Amino acid sequence: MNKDYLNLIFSGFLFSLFTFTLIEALTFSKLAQFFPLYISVAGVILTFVYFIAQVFTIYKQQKKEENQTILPLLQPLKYIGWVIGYLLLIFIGGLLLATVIFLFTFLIFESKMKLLSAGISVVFVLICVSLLSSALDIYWPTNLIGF
Amino acid sequence: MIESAIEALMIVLDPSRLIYMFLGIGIGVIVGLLPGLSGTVGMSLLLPFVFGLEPYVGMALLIGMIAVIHTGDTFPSILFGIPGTSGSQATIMDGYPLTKKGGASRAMGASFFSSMIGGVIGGIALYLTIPFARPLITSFSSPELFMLTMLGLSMAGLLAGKSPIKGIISGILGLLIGAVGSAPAVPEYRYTLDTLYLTQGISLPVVAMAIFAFPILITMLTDKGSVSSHAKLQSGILKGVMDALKNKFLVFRSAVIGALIGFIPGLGGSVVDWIAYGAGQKTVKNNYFGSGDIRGVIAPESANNAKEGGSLVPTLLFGIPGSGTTAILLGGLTLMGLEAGPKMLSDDLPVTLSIVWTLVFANIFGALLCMLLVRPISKISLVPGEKIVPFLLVLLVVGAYQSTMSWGDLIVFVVIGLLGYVMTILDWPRPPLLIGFVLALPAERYYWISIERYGWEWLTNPLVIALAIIIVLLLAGGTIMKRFSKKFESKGGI
Repeated sequence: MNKDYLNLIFSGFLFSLFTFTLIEALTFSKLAQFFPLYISVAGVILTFVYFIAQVFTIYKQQKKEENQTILPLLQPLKYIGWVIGYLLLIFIGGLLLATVIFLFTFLIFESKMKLLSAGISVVFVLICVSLLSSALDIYWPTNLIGF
Repeated sequence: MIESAIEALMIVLDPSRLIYMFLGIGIGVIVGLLPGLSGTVGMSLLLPFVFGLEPYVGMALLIGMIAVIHTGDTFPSILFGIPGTSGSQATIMDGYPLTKKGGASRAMGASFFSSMIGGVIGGIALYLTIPFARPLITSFSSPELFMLTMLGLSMAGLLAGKSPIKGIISGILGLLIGAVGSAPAVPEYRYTLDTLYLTQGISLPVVAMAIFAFPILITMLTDKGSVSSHAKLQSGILKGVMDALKNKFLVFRSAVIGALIGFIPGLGGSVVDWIAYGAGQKTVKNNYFGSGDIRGVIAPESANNAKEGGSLVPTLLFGIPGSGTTAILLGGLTLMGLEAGPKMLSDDLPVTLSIVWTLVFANIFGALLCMLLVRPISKISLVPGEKIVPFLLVLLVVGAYQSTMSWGDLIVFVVIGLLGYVMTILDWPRPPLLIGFVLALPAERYYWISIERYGWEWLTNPLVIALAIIIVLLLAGGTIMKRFSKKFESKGGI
């Protein structure tokens, strides 16, 4: 997707976010209100200025027929999907089970590792996580049934 | 006092106590190495073991650990662009680009050497301030503290890069994220979206990891390559050390900044590296900070280790902890039968001086240990992204969860991580967001106290005016220097 259009969409999103926080800040009591209100007002003004400037940039570029930077979106979305999938797996099966499934499938399909290497890597990670957990008193996310 | 210092040195060098210091150093390096684990985790881990220990032994263990966390946290910051702790965020700015160019060893050599010198200067600062610490600490009230937070926020402007408006918006966004949770002035919750998790606010390690680590994970996968674009790592530990020696005044300046900011309780050690980085950027000639300038690694690394010495002054002498780590240290003092306060300068002076020595030795040994680890650990930067990212993700998820042990940490990690990724691909600066986030609460709190207590009179306070002048000089000075250097360059220089 065109980088300038994405920038425009992002500044539009930030403008909406600051507008939301501004409206929300008006519902706070006076002492809780001043800080987020001032910040939100500043945010709304600046993002609006940036949004307009971005519209002009795009308009000028189209007039001059300049080369536009295109950002690939599908590939990043695929990897973001892997991250979210891993978290969903933790939510369903707990960290240990999710880590086994995620690591094994990722190493096989994305890293193109051999089955044996992937298996050894998974076992190694599980040992490390367990050792860290007991030695450094580290906790890990639990699943639906609290395991 | 010199006699007492020599006496304390003999106590620290006792082999039975040295073992505990080395144990603390080992744990500190590991805690620093693992993203998401902070000094608070390390302290919580060691605290149960200090109960009933002789104070010299217990302090050797605790201070040994605290001293080197900011040395060990350099590994993930430089190798992957992931902050090991919140104190090594600014190191990423130039450390990671250096790794991409194959200069990981050089960056780490410079970093560890600067950390060592910074840590030693921090120890010396602690020693030197012992006699006149009281007037120094009490001279800072809420108006001065507010101005110091403004000084920190001005760094957001300095780090904005090519587009100041994007930098300012990014900083404002950080301030807003920092405003989530309970308001400091009244018992009221803000922007919690009716969730229990957000009532406590969002934790700093999660935001730091999300904003820096998440985008790097995705970029490493999409770029299909190793972190280092060079097939062979340049051997450069010694070169890095020489770089630090060449920039000795920068190391010294940054260490002084670190120690001074450390003195001030509540300002938050997380901002010290940014202030040192910003000051370095403004004072170093012909710099290319942000694109792999070794001086951009030296400045924050020297400051974050020096900060530890400074932060022990209010903790030990007044019982005012400046951070979570020092708050737990106070608990440790009690467990060992000590009491923070004026007694630390009279009856317990040998313990205080043993802490100074431990800080100095731990920084030296910690840096040497890290230098030994550079060669094997920096090879990780040659491993292809798709082979290392899944392991990093597991580590980051476990690390992020340690903040509040809540699922909210993981959700925030992904949400802010996505925001960070979008900002990365659209060239929006991320450091201002983090600075804004770190300083949101102190800025609001100190502003509110200043207004409530002094009205607008606090603006005429000499120290406030002095700090305001420093801020203006920092902001305007940089612009003027840039214009001069541009004019100079256009005329062909000397």
